[in-house]
Amino acid sequence: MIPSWYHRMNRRERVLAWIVAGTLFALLNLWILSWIFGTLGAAHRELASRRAKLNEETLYVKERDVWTKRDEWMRQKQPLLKDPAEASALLDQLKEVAGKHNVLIENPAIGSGETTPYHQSVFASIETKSPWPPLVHFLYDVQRPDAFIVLENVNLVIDSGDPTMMRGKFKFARWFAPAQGSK
Amino acid sequence: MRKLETLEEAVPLLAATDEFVLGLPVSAVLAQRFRLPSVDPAEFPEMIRIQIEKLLPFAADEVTTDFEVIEQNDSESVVSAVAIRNEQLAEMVSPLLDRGYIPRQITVYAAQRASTHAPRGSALLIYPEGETLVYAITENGKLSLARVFEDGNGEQLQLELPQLRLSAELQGIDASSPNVLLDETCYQLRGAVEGILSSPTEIVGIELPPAPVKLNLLPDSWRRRRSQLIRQTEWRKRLLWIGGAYGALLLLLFAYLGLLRFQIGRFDSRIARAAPQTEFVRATEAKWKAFAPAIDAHYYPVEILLHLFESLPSSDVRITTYNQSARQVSVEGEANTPALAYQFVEKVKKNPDLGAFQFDMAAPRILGNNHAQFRVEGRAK
Repeated sequence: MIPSWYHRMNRRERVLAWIVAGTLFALLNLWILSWIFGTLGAAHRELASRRAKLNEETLYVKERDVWTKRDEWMRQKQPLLKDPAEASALLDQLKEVAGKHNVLIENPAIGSGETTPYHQSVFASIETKSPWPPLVHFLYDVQRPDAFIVLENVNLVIDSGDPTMMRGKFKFARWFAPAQGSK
Repeated sequence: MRKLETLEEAVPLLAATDEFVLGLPVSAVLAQRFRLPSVDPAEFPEMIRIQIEKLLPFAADEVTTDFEVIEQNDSESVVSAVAIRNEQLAEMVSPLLDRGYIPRQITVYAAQRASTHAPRGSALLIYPEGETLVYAITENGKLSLARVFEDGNGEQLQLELPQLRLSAELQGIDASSPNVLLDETCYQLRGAVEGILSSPTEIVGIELPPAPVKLNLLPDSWRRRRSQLIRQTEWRKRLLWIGGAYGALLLLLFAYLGLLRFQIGRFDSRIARAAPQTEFVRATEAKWKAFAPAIDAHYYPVEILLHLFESLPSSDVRITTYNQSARQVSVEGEANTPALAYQFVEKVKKNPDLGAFQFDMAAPRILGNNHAQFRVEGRAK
């Protein structure tokens, strides 16, 4: 049963052979165990991520009606860019609301904004000078969800000459539906 | 029970770890009764060795000897000593030894029969061993005297039995009215034996199992080898168990891994099935998020400013500058102490209405009047 080459070895050689064989065996098993536990850990993480994704999908399926309504609302409410004068119209709207609240408008400017897969925009930049309460009312009146007006840039500081006055720089943009209107 | 003709036939029935007893035939051993002038058992081995050396032309280390005390009085002991030459024993047992099967005990079959059937008093046992017939005189279950005859017919019985009785008497054995035990296979000799010995004869069968006997002729070197083999076998068994357990653990781990992979696959297929239903929701959600600065009031400057002012811990903290882009907010201000600035940013972070942004503040700058100038930045999540 024991091979002849083993019999031919002396005691010292046998001990050395056992040490080498034992070390190789231990290393091999360490590698196997390390691989198994590593793979198990990765599988656990993968499973957790799949479970989270499935839960997310389940939630999406449950909320489908809500999102259908939101999509429909956006389709109905998002304005369409009909002509190049929309930027001017936006500025007029701002002037009108500012006038209503006695907010002084300075340095007005208009232009076309960025285009993304979701929207195309026009903007109107203004600087304002007013006490704090009218400015709040002005901002409150201008920005409403169904107006699709975004404040792309705001800078508000207390007027250095008159601490009761606020100086503001605003870049208002209106986000219109994209040109194809399908997104 | 199986009857085997040779030891070779026993080999397939045994395993190296089996505890078995080998009963030697009387013809293989020298059985002698000694009267020793001592009652100290520690002195017996040496005394018996000397006696055996006188009887056998071999050195003491070539022979294995053992003994049993038959009787003792105040000054002397009567023992039954048995000896066998190691070389002869090795030759007889070679079929077993060649395969590493070493008996736990090597004894004499006659002693086993005596111990079983005649544990008290003297007895004459007549039974066959192979082709021969054994006459053994026993005392208190110990073998005292034995003779082997090639042929056990009536005429030989007439000749040998009286001589055996005489020899026994000469050795001091009380053989006047022995208990005569005749093996059942020698039933035809019953009449002759009863006629010669003028004693009733009892028929005995094969012992199942034989009574234990102290006599052990297992050589020391065999005993050591046997212990070594047993230890090796035990270690082999332990290693097998450990290896088996380790293998089972690996198998379990692999099975667990397989189970996890199976579950992942199942989740994948469920996700794939649900994907068409959720594609629209995902797209709408992405669109909704993209439009958040326009349609979600949490991104409106007026709302953000309101909640920032709500978060001011006291009038000792003042906002001096407010900047906002579509998805980023920054607030600059001044607090009477740095602690107040930190309180402010903590309240901002905890304000649920400002949850759309993630706020951070760099270390405030200490002004000449010990006030702290701070800047809080918030990024849309």
